[in-house]
Amino acid sequence: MSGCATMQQQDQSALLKPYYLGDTATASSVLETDYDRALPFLLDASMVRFSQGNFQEAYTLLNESEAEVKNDETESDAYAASKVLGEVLFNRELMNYEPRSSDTVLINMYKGVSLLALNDNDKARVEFNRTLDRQRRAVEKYKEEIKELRKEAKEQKAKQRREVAQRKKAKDKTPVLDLLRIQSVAKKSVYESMPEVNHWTGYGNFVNPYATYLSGLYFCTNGEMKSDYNKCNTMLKRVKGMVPRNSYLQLDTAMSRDFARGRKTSKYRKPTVWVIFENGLAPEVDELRLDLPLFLAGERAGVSMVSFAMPRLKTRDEALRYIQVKSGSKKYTSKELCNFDRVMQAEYKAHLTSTITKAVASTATKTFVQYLAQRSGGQLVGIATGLFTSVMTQADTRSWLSLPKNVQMMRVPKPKNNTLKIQAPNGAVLATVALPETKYSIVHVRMPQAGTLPYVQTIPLGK
Amino acid sequence: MKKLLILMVIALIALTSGCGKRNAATMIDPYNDTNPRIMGLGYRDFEQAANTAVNEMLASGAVSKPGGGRYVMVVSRVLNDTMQNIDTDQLVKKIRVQLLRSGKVVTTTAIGVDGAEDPMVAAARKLRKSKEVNQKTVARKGQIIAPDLSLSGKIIQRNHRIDSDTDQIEYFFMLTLTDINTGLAFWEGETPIIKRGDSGTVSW
Repeated sequence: MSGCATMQQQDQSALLKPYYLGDTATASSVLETDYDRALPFLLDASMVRFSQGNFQEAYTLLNESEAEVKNDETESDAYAASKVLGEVLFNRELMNYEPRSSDTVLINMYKGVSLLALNDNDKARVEFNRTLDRQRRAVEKYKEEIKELRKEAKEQKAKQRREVAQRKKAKDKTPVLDLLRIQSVAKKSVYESMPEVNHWTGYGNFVNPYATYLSGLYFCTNGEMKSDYNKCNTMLKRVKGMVPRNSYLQLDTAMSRDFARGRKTSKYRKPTVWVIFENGLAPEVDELRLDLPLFLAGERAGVSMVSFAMPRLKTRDEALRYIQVKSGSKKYTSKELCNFDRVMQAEYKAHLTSTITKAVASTATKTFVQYLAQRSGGQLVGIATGLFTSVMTQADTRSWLSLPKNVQMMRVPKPKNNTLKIQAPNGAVLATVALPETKYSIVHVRMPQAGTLPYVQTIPLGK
Repeated sequence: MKKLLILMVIALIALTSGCGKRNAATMIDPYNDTNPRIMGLGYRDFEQAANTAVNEMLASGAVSKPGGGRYVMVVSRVLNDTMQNIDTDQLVKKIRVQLLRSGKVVTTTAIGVDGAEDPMVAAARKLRKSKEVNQKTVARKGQIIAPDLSLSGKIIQRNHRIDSDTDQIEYFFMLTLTDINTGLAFWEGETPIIKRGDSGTVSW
């Protein structure tokens, strides 16, 4: 257990406040001090370095983050069980940050892009393959979670029935907690408090189109054999299906089809620049608090109140509606590739029942102990345990905060003067970029907040 | 005083023996290692893939030069299309060694996809104008032998979920031996290495 979620969040804030404002010097000075090398801070630190163009350091930090993820995944069954118990008895906030499936996909994706920037195309291929496998695992994990939830509910029902029967037989008047009923009421209350959840839709199968797109683009622009172009074509077609209105994506898909068919004279083989715009900030997590009745088995009305807390997504703003690029005499406008609000909301929604179940189990168990203490030890003992319950009932609001609200892109012919001018919607010039010598390249534009200058980096694609 | 002496002796033993233990390693006989394999690619997997490929090559007759003698082989691109950070030389080197031992194939290090494997072949030829070097001992022009055969291929990986606790990781070592003169594939082989294990974490 690491009991320092609040301190971790303070460290995150110290790093990210200057980062959002484009204050590179202050953000760097935070990273030059000794900090707690834990998630999610490491993830934000890697994004700061990535935006600054320090790809070696970004790659190192992402590697460290992935090692932390692996530690979490490979912990023994006994330790995992003790963690669940700890979560029920104490609080999720007191445990290590548990990365979301979407976090793990992005770790490998950003590692891949960092390696491209470092001209290590072979290792980048490994990372893009890993990115795709992480997406597959996210779907598997969700399926397992649903199965597990059903099994647990069944077991809880049987356990409650058994306890009631045993106590009846032994004429024991100690009450039995009706956890299932409390969980059912909690679920209803949560959906009433957050009706917007019903309208949240992801991209299907927990896919992040940004990750699939960049992986696909890698295999087209670094392709060495037919299977690479087929892979690229499959992935870009999938992304086009998820984001059907993006006309640049239609061109990219046509490119991948020509490459897969081996058309040497395809018009899509001309030098091209992909401008990727990471815009604004992804949702942060705050706390939803609700009061529920404490139900006992066999009792119609609640005997006390359960105050429970769980994480809730809070969307943040975009920096600009779009950006524009002038290449030669033609102007291009960025179009949405991935809405991170949607990606995170879909994952949140998918795990909502599990989150409610765990949060309610945690707080109801503690309140039940308080209720029993009050019954047997009087008011003072009840107050003492009540204080403990109140302190321990907090939602884990940690999150990878430096991710964008949305990602936009445009496909631009490489201009003859090797220079791109990036402009805001009002025409203000945000940056003038000198392009790499390679035939294909990415210009990565990161603007976390409106009214600031963006971080702009160029990344060669292929040789 | 006596107690202090005993304590010092114990501390000394602890220090010396402790240090030794921390660095101690158990030697493994790579030819008789029966410990479970890892989900990623380990030395036994490369050994298995290389042995299978060479045995198939030799058995097919593809590397038996008509009229005797040795073929000259060049190593082309062997692509790592897996999720593992591996060096494909771990596979290629084993194949080269075994083919050389067979007496049927010799590999050129003077030519390669990204330049010569051994740059000294070219560097030594720069001595041709040196007055310090006995010119009779310098490599003469037109002596480098062009390759007859090219070895290329790729290693791919496919992952599948078998059940809630088990993942199946499939690796395919796909190799091709091409006759450079005709462009025909004299030999092609695919060695699957399939593993089942804990699905709790990724295979890398």
